[in-house]
Amino acid sequence: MSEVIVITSGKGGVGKTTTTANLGTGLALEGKRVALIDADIGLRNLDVVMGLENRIVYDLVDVVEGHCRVKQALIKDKRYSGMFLLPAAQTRDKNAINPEQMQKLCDTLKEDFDYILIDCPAGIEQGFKNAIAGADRAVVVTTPEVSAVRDADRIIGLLEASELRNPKLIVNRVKGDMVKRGDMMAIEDVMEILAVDIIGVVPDDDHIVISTNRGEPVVTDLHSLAGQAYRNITKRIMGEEVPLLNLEGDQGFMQRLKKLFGLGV
Amino acid sequence: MNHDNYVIFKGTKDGLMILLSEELDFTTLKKHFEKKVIDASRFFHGAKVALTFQGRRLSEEEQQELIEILSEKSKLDISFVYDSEDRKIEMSSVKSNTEANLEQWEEGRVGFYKGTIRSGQQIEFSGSVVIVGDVNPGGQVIAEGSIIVLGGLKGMVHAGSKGNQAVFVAALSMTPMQLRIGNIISRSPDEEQNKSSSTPIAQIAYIHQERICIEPMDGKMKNLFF
Repeated sequence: MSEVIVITSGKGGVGKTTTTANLGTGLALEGKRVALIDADIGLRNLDVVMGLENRIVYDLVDVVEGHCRVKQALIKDKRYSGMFLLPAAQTRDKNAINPEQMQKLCDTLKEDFDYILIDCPAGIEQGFKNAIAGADRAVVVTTPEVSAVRDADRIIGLLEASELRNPKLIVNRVKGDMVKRGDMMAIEDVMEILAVDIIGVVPDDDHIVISTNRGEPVVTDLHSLAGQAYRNITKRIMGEEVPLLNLEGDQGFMQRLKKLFGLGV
Repeated sequence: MNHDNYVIFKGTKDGLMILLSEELDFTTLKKHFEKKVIDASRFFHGAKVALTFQGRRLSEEEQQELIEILSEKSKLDISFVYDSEDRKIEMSSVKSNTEANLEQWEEGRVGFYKGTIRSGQQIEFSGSVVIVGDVNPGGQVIAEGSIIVLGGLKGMVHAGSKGNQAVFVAALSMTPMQLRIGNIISRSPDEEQNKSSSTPIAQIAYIHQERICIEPMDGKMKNLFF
């Protein structure tokens, strides 16, 4: 049974593209067949983050307009078997496609892939409408900042209005020590406002910047905490239950022991 | 189909069920409906019922039109309306309770909204409204009557939007972005309140001497009642 998942946020710069790249790679590492669609026409990034920019021949708009077949436009990622990228066009804009075309494309891809991840552009206009048109599920990415949470709230409302119910939440760029000091919104504060299921918490991690610039998703880095977070989210997407990472610094031995015996901390 | 059968009234144990034919267009159906209501009005006189529509999908406006005909042409006191899927419950106390001491609480129609009002969403209602859920920052609720939020009020609400000052806003947790009652606007203080550490208490806001007062709902709400 294949699924189309849109990754969206409303606000820009919270990590939609990074999340898409990492979840896609994570799913591919789990042996799934994955297609990534970059729906950010005119401002494409996903190919760069994946390190596949130099292999683009055809793009999303070419497929939709019938200039090529879907299979011709899909770029195979040689590092991970079963992973393909459908890049966005850079010379066009969001109005180059419409929701019906997007839905048709998703239906076509569903025949060949287990998961289709759509990287949604920021904003709530045409690009957003295109990106969510073919989706079965939605993942909303936010950061622990009031502006990002406000936009996520708006997006969840719009998703619900489009019959995409129960979106899952990823809180990105959490700084454990700042939360501990009370200088950053805690996960609980974010969840209190948004009131949707949380599917992952990703720490702010320098490895992300390094891996993004290298074009290698951090999920492959076994030493990075963010990589671990993305591997956990991947498992949750596949339906496994994995506890959330503890980001508020290392716990002492006694605390861990207490927690083990259910005494709380 | 016999033309009498386009609209059928049926008494059920929960109230009144109205079976509507799917064959007719809505305007014709409405005429049949009205005729049927007038015919039956003597029978209905003053009864208090819960209403169910069946046999046809009605839009909200269509349902509202039929309810208006029903309450106008008959002396029926409709207490609940269930729609065909039996999910949404709309309460509209169309005819008032006769007890004199309740008269000042006459709020006209009361709507229920279940769910969170998120940023960018707006609810408008011609009577009073009860929100079963939160009103998030950036969300708006506008009602001609009073507004009750069974949840956290963090967005903007406007009670008495047509200028009625004798209305109130109540919420389980009252931290609105902005509070409007009648034509008076107030906003929460700029400095952050020491929030959430203690369990929030329900509060009520109303107009007293041309200002919006907010006080805890602890049964001592003197100003509101006198």
